[in-house]
Amino acid sequence: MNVIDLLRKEQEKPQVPVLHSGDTVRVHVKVVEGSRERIQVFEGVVIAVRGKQGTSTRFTVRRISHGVGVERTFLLHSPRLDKIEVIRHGDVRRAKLFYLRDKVGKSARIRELRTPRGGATVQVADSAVVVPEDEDEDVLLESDTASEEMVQDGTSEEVMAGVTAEPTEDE
Amino acid sequence: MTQRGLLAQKKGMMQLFLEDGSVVPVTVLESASCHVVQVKHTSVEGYSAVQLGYGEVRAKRVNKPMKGHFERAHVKPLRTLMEVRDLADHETPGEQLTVEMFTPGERIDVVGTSKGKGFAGHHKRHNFHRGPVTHGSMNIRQPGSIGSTDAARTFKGVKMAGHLGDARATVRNLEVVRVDADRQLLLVRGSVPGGKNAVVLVRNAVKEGA
Repeated sequence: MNVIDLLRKEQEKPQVPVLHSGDTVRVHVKVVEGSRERIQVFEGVVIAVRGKQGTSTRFTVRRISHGVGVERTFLLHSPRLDKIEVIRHGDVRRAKLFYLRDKVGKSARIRELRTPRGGATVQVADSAVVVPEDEDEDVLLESDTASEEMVQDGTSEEVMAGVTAEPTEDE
Repeated sequence: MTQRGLLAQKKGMMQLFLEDGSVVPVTVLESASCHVVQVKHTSVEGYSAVQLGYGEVRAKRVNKPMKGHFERAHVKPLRTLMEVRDLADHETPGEQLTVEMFTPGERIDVVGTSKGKGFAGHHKRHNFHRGPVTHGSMNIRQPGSIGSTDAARTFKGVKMAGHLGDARATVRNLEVVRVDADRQLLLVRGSVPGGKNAVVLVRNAVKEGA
């Protein structure tokens, strides 16, 4: 193995979940506010996984926050990520789910995969593996949306959902 | 002024996570065998310089005059030799230079030979603009005027197409991100001239902050 590959290997986390587009994930992001650091949870659907497996792997998570589509891209091996929980696997036929940007409401849903993909178990760093058997859709998110949400002035959800805000996160 | 420096081999580029989670593009440089081969003094040679060598080779690979040259410095035969003016910190023949001379956060210059691009047009070689693409334009990648009619000749040094690359190139004020003494690696922010395995000169920044 050459030096570059070795250095890359050293940067990888020992365990990361196998992500696939269509998966619903909860990403625990470390956020620095002034002097203290806290964990912010970003839950949504993985719409793209890019880059070859390794330190440069990126994945994009999309969620509808207060009627506004929000997408965030993370580096899979980033030290800024505390953990990644895979909540459910989606049944999708595409590697990139960009069509979800044009979908609103019911049509933006993704069917859940009945049989696990290739029997792959979900591995999450820090041994916090959470794969709920029941799908409780109404996961209450903590007050974590403050920094992500876009300004929304009383427009109905259906209308605003079409607008995609994409704060690109350079990590 | 140059004081410290060594020869290193470019290993390639990668992404590096810093402690704060940010990602920086780095070039990995390895300096496994850099030795001072000869020291030139103003009193003898008329100028002050240090000849550095890099990359051990089998004794069979060098001819007898070179063998004697290396033996004088008590070093093994080396593949690449490079002379650096005024390298005041290293004036002991035979001394092995290691990456510990640099500290993370320090600014350095990297001198190397750029990748050869062959015969390149104006566009690529001198960053000329291209002409209009449509409306019957016949000068998409043409150079434009190369002089006035008054001069009746083309002056020397006018920028034209020609050979690009494979020339000495210096990148100034690169930041040292990490120094790995165990493996003799330098991780430098940004890119460095040359291809993989190219031997480059790494020295302290001559014009820091410029």
